[in-house]
Amino acid sequence: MITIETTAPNPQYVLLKGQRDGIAVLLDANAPLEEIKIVLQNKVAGAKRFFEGANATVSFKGRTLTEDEEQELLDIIMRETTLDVAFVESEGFTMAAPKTIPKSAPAATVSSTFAPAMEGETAFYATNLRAGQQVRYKGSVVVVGDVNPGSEIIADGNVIVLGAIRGMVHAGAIGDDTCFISALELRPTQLRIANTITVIPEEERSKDNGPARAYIKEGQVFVEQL
Amino acid sequence: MSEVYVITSGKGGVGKTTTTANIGAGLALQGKKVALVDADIGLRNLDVVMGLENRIVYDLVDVIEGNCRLKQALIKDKRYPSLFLLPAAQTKDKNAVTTGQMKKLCDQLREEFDYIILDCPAGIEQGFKNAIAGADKAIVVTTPEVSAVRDADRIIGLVEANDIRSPLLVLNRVKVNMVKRGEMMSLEDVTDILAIDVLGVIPDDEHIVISTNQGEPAVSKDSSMAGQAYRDVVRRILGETVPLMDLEQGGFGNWLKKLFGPKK
Repeated sequence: MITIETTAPNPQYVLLKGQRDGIAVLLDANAPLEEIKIVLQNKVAGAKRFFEGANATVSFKGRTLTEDEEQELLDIIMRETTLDVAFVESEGFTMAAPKTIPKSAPAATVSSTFAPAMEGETAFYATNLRAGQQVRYKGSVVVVGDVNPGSEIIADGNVIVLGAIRGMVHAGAIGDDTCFISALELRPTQLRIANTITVIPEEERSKDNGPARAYIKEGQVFVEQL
Repeated sequence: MSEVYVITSGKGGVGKTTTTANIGAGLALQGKKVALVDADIGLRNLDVVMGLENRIVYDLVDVIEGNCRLKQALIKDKRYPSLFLLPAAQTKDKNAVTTGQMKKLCDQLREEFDYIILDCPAGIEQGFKNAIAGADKAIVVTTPEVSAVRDADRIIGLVEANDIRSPLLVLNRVKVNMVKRGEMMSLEDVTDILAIDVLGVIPDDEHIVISTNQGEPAVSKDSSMAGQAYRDVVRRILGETVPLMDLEQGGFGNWLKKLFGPKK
């Protein structure tokens, strides 16, 4: 069946904005994806010079995209331009983005006499992470569920898993070696804290040692049972 | 209110097609109207396992391209009262079909059948996307091997991301003696990782090889242990509560004793 376009899609569905390290593509949250693709195609084709450069970051904003949708949009940009895309950012890639606590919430006041190990933003996931799924977060990550083999968590802060870690977890991903990883079962394929990579010995990994915490001391990863 | 099931696994060779054939035949034996759809375009073999290869005239791609009507392509299996097969095309590939077309096909089948069962190809590419597009429910087949379980885990994630809630697990080819010796993953080991509900555990059974080669699903053979396990799976799909077969008691002899022996 052939559908005849009666009206051209609204050009406002897609807005392009230059950023310091690349381009932001603002997408209309409600418009049909097919129309967004048409508008993007037209705009990109008409602004080829805008898209020259190397190692650029393309960030999609204003709309939650699935992995496939993001790839389709990226394909359009790559097809029409000579842009060398180094990094793609989008909202809610594979895993839904965590809800942020509204600003009006009372600020956390630490009234105890000792300092917390770390303060800052935390993403919470109440689900199992399965093979092929990845969480990348700029703060700490808490997972209520298992982190299965073949999945990854990369956090700039701490990682706490109320379940088993059987996949790859990286805490302090931007180099903070005070970060720790804690889980009810700590049997990862690989453990990374800051710039240190360790492998848990097979005999330790094959049995359940109970809750544990991994941290760095004098450049080495230690695992302590809790 | 018909239901569309997709039988999927990620990894190849774990028993998707055998499971599709047996569940389909089993549901038909229970008097349900069943359509089996081979979504493995280019590598069709559900027709071979069902023993219906020589009756293919039209296939799934013919229906989608409008070369024939749906009814012309559906092959009636004479051994079962209400079982039909829609074979895959052999000369095309997965890209001959889109997810939209597949959805439409499933909706057409819903009008005629109680159960539509899609045999999904291995992998996570277009063929897989097509197969899950029209499905309401998913049955994930795996064997107790680390590689198969890993792929099953990935598949569960993808299936859930496509809004198919709570997929069900069929653990295939369990060797009881190896599990006992701790040389093979047990059901518990597998569900520890996959964390989904178990629809059935199928013991490793030579009957399956024989029945697959003969094009006669094991589910209709009383003597086959795997056939019994598939009959249990079918009853669970129909909503009955059937305890998992006690594989630990193990062995065909014990199973016969339980069938015919004195009641405890």
